[in-house]
Amino acid sequence: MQIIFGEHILSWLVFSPLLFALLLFCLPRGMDEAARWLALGGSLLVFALSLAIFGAFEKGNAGYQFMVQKEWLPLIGVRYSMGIDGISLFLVLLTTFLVPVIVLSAWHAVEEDAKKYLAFMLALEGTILGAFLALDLFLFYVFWEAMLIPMFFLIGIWGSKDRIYAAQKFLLYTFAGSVPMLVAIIYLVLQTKLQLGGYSAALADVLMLKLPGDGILSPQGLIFLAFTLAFAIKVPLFPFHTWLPDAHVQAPTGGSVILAGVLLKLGGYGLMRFAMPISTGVLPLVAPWMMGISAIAIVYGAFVALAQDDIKKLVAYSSVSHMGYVILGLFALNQIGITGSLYQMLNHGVSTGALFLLVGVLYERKHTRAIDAYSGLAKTLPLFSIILLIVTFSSIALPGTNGFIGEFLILQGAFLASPFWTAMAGTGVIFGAVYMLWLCQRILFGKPDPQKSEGLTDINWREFYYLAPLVLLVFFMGLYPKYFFDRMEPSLLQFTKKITVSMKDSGKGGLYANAQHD
Amino acid sequence: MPTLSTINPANLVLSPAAWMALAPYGIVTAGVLLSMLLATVKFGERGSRLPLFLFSIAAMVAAGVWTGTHWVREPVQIFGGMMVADYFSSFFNVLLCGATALVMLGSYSYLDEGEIHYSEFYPILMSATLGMMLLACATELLTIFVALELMSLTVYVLVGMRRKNAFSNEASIKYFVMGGAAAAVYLYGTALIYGALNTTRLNNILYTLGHEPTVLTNPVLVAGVVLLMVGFLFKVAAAPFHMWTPDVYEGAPANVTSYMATALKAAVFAALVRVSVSFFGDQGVSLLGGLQNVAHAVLWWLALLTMLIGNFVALMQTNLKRLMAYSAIAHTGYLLVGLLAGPQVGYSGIVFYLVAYVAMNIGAFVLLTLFPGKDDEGLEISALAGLGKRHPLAAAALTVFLLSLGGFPPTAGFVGKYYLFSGALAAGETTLVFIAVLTSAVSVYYYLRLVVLMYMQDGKELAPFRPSYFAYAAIAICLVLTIQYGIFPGSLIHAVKKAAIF
Repeated sequence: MQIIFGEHILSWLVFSPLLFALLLFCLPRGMDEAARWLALGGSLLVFALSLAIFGAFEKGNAGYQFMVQKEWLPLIGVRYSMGIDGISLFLVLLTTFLVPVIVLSAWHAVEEDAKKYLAFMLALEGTILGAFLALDLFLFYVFWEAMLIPMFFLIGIWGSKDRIYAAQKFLLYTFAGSVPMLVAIIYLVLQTKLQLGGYSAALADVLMLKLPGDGILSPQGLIFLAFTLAFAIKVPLFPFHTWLPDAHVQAPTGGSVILAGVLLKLGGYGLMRFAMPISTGVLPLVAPWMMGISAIAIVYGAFVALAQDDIKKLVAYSSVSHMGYVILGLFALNQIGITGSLYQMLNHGVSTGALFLLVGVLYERKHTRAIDAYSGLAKTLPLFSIILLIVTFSSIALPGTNGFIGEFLILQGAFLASPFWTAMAGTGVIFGAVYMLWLCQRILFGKPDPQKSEGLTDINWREFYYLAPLVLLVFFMGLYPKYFFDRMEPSLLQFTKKITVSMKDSGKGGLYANAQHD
Repeated sequence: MPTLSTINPANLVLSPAAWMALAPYGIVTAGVLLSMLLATVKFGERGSRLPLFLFSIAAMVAAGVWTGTHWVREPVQIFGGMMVADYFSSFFNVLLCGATALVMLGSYSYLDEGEIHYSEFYPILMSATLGMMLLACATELLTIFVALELMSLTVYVLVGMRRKNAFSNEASIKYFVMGGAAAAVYLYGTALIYGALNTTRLNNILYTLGHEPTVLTNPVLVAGVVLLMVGFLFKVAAAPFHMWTPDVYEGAPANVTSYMATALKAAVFAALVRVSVSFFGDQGVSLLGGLQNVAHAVLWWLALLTMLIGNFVALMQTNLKRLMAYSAIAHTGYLLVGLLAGPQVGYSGIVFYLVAYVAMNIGAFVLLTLFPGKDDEGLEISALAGLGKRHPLAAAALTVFLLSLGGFPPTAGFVGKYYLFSGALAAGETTLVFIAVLTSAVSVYYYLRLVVLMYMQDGKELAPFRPSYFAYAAIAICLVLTIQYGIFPGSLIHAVKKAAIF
């Protein structure tokens, strides 16, 4: 691979979706069928490329691999630098895996201007990959902001009735939340000039800075707040979640899948990659708060999901609840919780992605997402129902599915840090089972109403092809997590060390350090 | 130290280097005069204006290319220190000639629409550009005044170019009356400064303030500086001296509006930067002592007010020109943040941002002038509804410009804001930068509202879309610059860093 791509394999990964997007934009009008095949081919090619990277990824290496580093704007210390490690590896794979799935799912669902839809989707993929791989704060911010634009169009053009409101809310919410992060980034770059003797926005250099970290109003504390605001909105963490239900309900199926499957993960990823390592000094101070907020988010999301009569809204609120686990595990600040968090991000991408796809399947047939518009699907749509049940089991963390591994690790890790909040979060598991199973009961079981099932057909081969891999992943990740952990562990261990060692230094990390798991 | 004396004839003898440095101004002056002659010649049966148009553009390009090929690296004093040719002035010559050429290129077919007499338009536009170029190189308060007036008087006429339109006439008169008052204020300030310091040359002012601290407490000087600043702030439309902006921008022909928002602002900021260096210190030395703190506090609040008024009032506009007027006010606010950051870290950011602003704002305006209809009725925001379906390329280009104005990466607008605000943060203006980025998040709303209209709502054409290859060329140039300086701004950052050394 080195021979073909040289050092630029990650650049190819990021920019080839963007190139395909450009190609799609340039296709003449009325060539939607060709556009679909081109998008499918392009996204599969990108997926193959990411698999090749995965194959060549060194298991025991905790550092960044396939690094590419080029001077970009030396006068302001900005370097074009990207790399992949155990933390970003699977998130990248998740992204490249979901996009072909989305392209397939949109084959007939998106009729109007399909080529532009697919172009925006691939542009979104490229910017998301860029954000996952960037190791320079400036470069990261560029991708981070740039990704809002294709998502904005996806919601705003192909969404349902209130799409414009939802798209604007999504964009303004996330943009406004990100600008404090920009100020923090500029501050850090200026600090590198003072402390290291030259401007640098490279993550490695920024991590070498020594900044006062006593209290939340110290530089480290404020930087943490600025970064975390941006990431918490993306996650979205209660109480910054209000844009999500709107965006999900209005977005087209593919938009919802990529939003829930990948975009939200960037929040968690950003915390791991940037916010937490840069401001380790204040972590002991903020961790209990973050755990408390996420426990509230878990329970709150579950309760609100319980009250929804729109399937998509229900899944959207379940995302709020599930992403709460991710933050809970991260701020347990120990190896178990953090591993669980990363794993849960992947699980959520798979299971919620699948849920949105299934909602899309129903919507394509009946053009409604109201729960009471469906009943007794188990009889009329058996294959659909089996898949929905499997995904539901994954979502409520039944042993044997991927969700179980993630939630178990998170709760175990969190318990070591804060039994109280863990107990509260644990109730969320129960409520999660309640709303999901209740949903299944209402739409799958009961008497099939001939009027309601009119026009409903079971999933076809195309739909089977894109849903089957997700179902397989549910079991594979649930039964053989070691395959994933082997590749994540070294990087996660290094990450945990980084954030806990400096806590030991400051003498505040006793409890957390003891909770470390080897 | 040189003292002010009556003009020594020996000072008026120009060295060869000075002659070379003066050439761009000579080219533009010749362009103005010859274009007036050319305007009297009738070409073809119905009088084609193509020759005049091409000649004017050629004059601008020639002045820009001359500057580019005879770039002044070491400052050359001209006319005994009333003007200076240096990296900064060379940079602005290219910027201003380029902006003017783009405005001309973009508005070739627009002139018919507004029934604007082209034979007057091109010479007057070039005279205004000459005034702007002089503003960027003047180093003496009265020379600045002359340049300012040359620019202003011609722009008053340009604003009133749509002679049959009441709004245009109103705007012209309004701008003339208020601008005249502002000029008087500026001149009064100059007189007071001369009274206090016995000089109007920027070098001498800097020297006197540094070596005779007693003058710093002189209230006459303080009053003079305040009045001088008011004159400048009026021209760049900073709050609370911005009241004229929306009306004038709305009444003026759209191409003149874009010219005022970009080239005029760039030129006045060039002069403002030079004057600020002489009054508020170079290399971070606080020459004015207590006065500097007061000036800082006042400018701080004005920058804040300008950003808030510009961005929040823009939210409610339905006329595109008024919307862009408030957006222009907001951008002045960002530039004032750079001014506060001081010569060392802030001024290069101002110059960068001005370049980005010229590219993205002229680009946006040229697009808007493609469908103005009679009396610019097409410049309501509803005219944009459904544009993405009707004219996908135009809509895509306008989207890029709007995203750049809103500060989205990877466009020049983003890098400009990053660079400008990083200078301000380095100077310790944390609170102001915070407010600046938050208000720029507000601005995203009104820029995106236009994008929403273009792509997500249906509408019908209000006025016929007027494609023009010249306009397309202007748009393409602006688009390339906006994206190029968004992704590869290295060379520009290098240049502005050199330009902002005084």
